[in-house]
Amino acid sequence: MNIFNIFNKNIKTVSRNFSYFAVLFICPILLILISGAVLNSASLNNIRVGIVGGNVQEIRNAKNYDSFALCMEDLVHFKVVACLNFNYIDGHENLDIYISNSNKLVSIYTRQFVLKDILNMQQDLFEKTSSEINSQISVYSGSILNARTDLVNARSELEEQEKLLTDYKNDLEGIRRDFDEVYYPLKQMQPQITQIRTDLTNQQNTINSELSIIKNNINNIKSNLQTLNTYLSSKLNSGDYDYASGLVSSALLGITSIESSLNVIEQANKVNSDLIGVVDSLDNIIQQLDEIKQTLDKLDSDLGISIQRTRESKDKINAFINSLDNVNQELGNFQSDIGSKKFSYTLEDAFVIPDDPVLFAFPLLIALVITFTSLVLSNMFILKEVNHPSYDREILTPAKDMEFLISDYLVNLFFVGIQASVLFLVGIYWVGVSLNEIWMFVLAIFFVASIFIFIGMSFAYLIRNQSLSMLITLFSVMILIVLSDILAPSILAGEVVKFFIDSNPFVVLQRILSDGIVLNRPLGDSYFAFVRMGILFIMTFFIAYVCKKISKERR
Amino acid sequence: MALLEFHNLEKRYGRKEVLRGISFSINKGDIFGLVGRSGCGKTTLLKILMGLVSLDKGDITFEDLKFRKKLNYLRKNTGYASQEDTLFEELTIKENAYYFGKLYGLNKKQIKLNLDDLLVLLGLDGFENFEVRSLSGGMNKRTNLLVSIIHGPRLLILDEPTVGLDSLLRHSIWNYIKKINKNGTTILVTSHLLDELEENCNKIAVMKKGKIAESRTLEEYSKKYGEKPFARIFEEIIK
Repeated sequence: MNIFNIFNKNIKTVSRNFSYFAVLFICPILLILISGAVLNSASLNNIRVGIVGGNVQEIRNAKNYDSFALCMEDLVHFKVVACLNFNYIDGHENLDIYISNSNKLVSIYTRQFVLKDILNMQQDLFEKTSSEINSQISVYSGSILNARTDLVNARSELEEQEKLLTDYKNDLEGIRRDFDEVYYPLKQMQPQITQIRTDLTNQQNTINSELSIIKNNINNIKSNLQTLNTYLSSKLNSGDYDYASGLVSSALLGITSIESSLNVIEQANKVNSDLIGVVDSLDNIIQQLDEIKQTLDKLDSDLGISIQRTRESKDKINAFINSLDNVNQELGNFQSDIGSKKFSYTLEDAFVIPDDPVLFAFPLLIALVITFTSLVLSNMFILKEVNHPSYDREILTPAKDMEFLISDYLVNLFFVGIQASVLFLVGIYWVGVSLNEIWMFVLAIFFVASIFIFIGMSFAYLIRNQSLSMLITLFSVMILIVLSDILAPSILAGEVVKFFIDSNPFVVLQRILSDGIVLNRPLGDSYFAFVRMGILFIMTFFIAYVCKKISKERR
Repeated sequence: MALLEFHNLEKRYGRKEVLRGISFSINKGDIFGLVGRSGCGKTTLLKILMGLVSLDKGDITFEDLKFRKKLNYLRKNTGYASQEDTLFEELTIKENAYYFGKLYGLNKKQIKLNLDDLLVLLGLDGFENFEVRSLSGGMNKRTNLLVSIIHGPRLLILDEPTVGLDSLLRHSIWNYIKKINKNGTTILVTSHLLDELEENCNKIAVMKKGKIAESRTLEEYSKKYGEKPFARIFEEIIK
């Protein structure tokens, strides 16, 4: 069967051509590796956001700004893709999120990132904080209530103590009144008592003195009578004597009776001593009453001070209880406030862009066409040239390689220019593209088309085999597309991948066109992109020149 | 008088020695034939002469000027016509002539003067505005010659100029080559058609394994090898 015959031949042809073989295997592997690197590098965590008035440390690529204006300036220049403006509205925390909508994909991923990560994180943080505060407030509130209860108990005790002290004071006053009723009359009598005592003492002393004299006289009389009796006994007859003795005896009896009376008087005078003792006792009592009075006075004063201090303590406790009540009330209000506080946010587009998908896709379309056309057209053109027999004749002329290179480049640029003009005419008349800075667009397309033309030319100079060269060129187009915002936006990419994406002329052209066509931004903002393109332009030009030289050497 | 001299040229590709001390000269006004078996180094020698391949050793002088220093001078004064049609088919004869004339540094006036003469010389008068793709095979070869000498070179290199043509056309082409030679252009021609060379060249060099085995006039060959066709002499040399 010829099918197998032809198939077999084709397999042998391809497998024995190392270049084909290499391209067929290496290019897809390279493409997959690059795609893998781009996709693996892509992560929402790489999204760079600007934060104003907040501190979200959990976001790795967050950049804090002092003002919203500074953040928006960086947003406009694609240094960040979202501005998170934390503020308070009516006491509620609010977050205004401005998202770069310059690219639909970027906008979608940024929204996803913001909604998934930041808001959830913020909400969680807020809820966690609220919960912790609530818990702490409950603990503090409980402690305050316990303290208040203790204080109320202490106040009750103080009140009881005050009442007790007041009762004591009242009782003391009653006692003092009773005491005073006794004390003051006694106190008034004290001079009289003193006088009575003095009089009694004097009287007693006088009586005792007089009684002593009388007793001495009586004893003398008695002695004299007894002597007389003895004398009479000797001198008088019995009768007379008897008589006289009777008289003497009678006199002695009378004296004895007087002595008895004197004894009675003496005894009576002893009662006077008791009276003096009584009067002394009274005096002592009055002195003790004085001391009691002083004690009572002091007790009264001390009770008054104690009552006063108890009242003051009670007032302090009352004031403290009031303070605690107020604090507790405030904590209660705060707690209820936390519960009722809302975390709100708004999502805003950073740019005012007409909602026209065709206009939106137009820069990408132009960039794709320019990239594809520049690479493929220049590659085909040079392949045709180097494979044409006239090429040998051309390179044998004294014309310089540089002249050939530049003229070939200009031809390709001319055709790409025609294509770009047609696209712009379509854009202006059908899509409504406004071209305020047409010369900047022309410059951007010039740079990017030139870079791709030089790359396409280089491939053709190095690889004369048409299908092989075209295959590599097409793979290059695919790599350029893979290394762009189409597969995974550069905002998601890591630093290394991002560098390559940002350096991709296809991406640069798309962004410049998008800036001008969709965002209506002055293209002067893309100064650094132009510088980068200028450098790449020069580099690729020299690469193409070297490839042209190599191509000539190989003939 | 020597127009072109090769002095002990050596060239190797990796381990393969392609040219091994090539030395010979081409005088002004010669129609010089260069022959040899495939792979003997002819193409490499021509490439070196055209400045496409660098020399490892040796030198070439063109009108007593060192080739290495005066490559552009050599190129300006050399024309090349390969066995393939090296013209732009979409362009007319005139456009091709003007294009290549300008590449050689001529102005329009010079090109016009040369073109008018060459159109007559090569029998293309009246066809100058015809696109090359519309021309016959013989006219194509002539146009190729025309463009190769539009800049008035002193040396014309022809690589298999009549390959693929019938005998009548070959004869015609050689007549035109001779006309060009008579106009003062030295011709260096390579061909496998030895009878053509024998008929038209005054000097022939035979290359063998990277060396010039013999380089003589036809008379000298006859003296050395006897009166026999050059094809036989060639066979003897490369044997």
